[in-house]
Amino acid sequence: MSLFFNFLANPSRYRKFAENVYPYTLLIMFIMLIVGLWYGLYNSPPDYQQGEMVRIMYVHVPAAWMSLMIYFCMTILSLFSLILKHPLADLLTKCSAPIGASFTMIALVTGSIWGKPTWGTWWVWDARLTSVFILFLIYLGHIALVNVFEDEVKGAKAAAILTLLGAFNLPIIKFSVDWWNTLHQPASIMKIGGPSIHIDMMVPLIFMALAFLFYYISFLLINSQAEIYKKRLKKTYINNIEIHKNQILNNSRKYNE
Amino acid sequence: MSSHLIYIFSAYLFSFLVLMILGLKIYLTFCSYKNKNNNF
Repeated sequence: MSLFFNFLANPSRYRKFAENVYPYTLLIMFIMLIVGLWYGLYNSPPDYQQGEMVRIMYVHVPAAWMSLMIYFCMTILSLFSLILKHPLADLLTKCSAPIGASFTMIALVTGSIWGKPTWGTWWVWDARLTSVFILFLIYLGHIALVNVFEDEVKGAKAAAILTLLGAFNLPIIKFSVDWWNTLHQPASIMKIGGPSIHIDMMVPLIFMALAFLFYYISFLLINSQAEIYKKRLKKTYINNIEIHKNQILNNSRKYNE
Repeated sequence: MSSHLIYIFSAYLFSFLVLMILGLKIYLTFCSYKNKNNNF
């Protein structure tokens, strides 16, 4: 594992690896998405209580899982960045944040759309909903913090500290439905004693979750390549300015002599 | 039933629009930087 991380520490080696891998992850994502949509919208039964509205869960639940998983990955990467100073860790954390924020927004909005006909309200300030909303704000804070500093290294360090501080929110999100009386229902899949939902509903959920996971992997690989190209361009641009500056200085010196 | 379909349609439409816009934005940025790198 450490050999793999060392292998990826070189940006151009990582870029080549990402360039070769991302078409396959995109292909897997599309296959999973088509199968998941076919099961979710057509080949799964309506719920005995929620009726057809249960189909929203096949987008809402995987998006909520992804928002937590991406934040967990960002926390690990921030630790890598602060302790081991791994060059790739900052890059991957920066590229993960917009994808995580988008999944959190999808979870919040689809949950709200599901809540109106089921609970009778678009939004309640209960523990689960509020903690996920805070997660969304932390994601936005991370994106802002990375871009606000002129010095990229300082920005990445500040964002890594924010990510680590925000990680306290993850167990709150997960256990909020057990610790407090919430309108949001408790876990029905990731719980002790195994999942309590029917296999026909489990299958579309798993396929959609895999589609979202491969979406994250694909666009993380693409986004990180873009960042590497951007850094390289910046470096070349600064080098060219230096060369031109030196040429102008030399010419003016010759002229004065 | 039909009102439920509107909720389901809205949820799926919103999700896929968000993912599509983000995906396109990331991919176009990547293509733009890649071309600039090749032309430099």
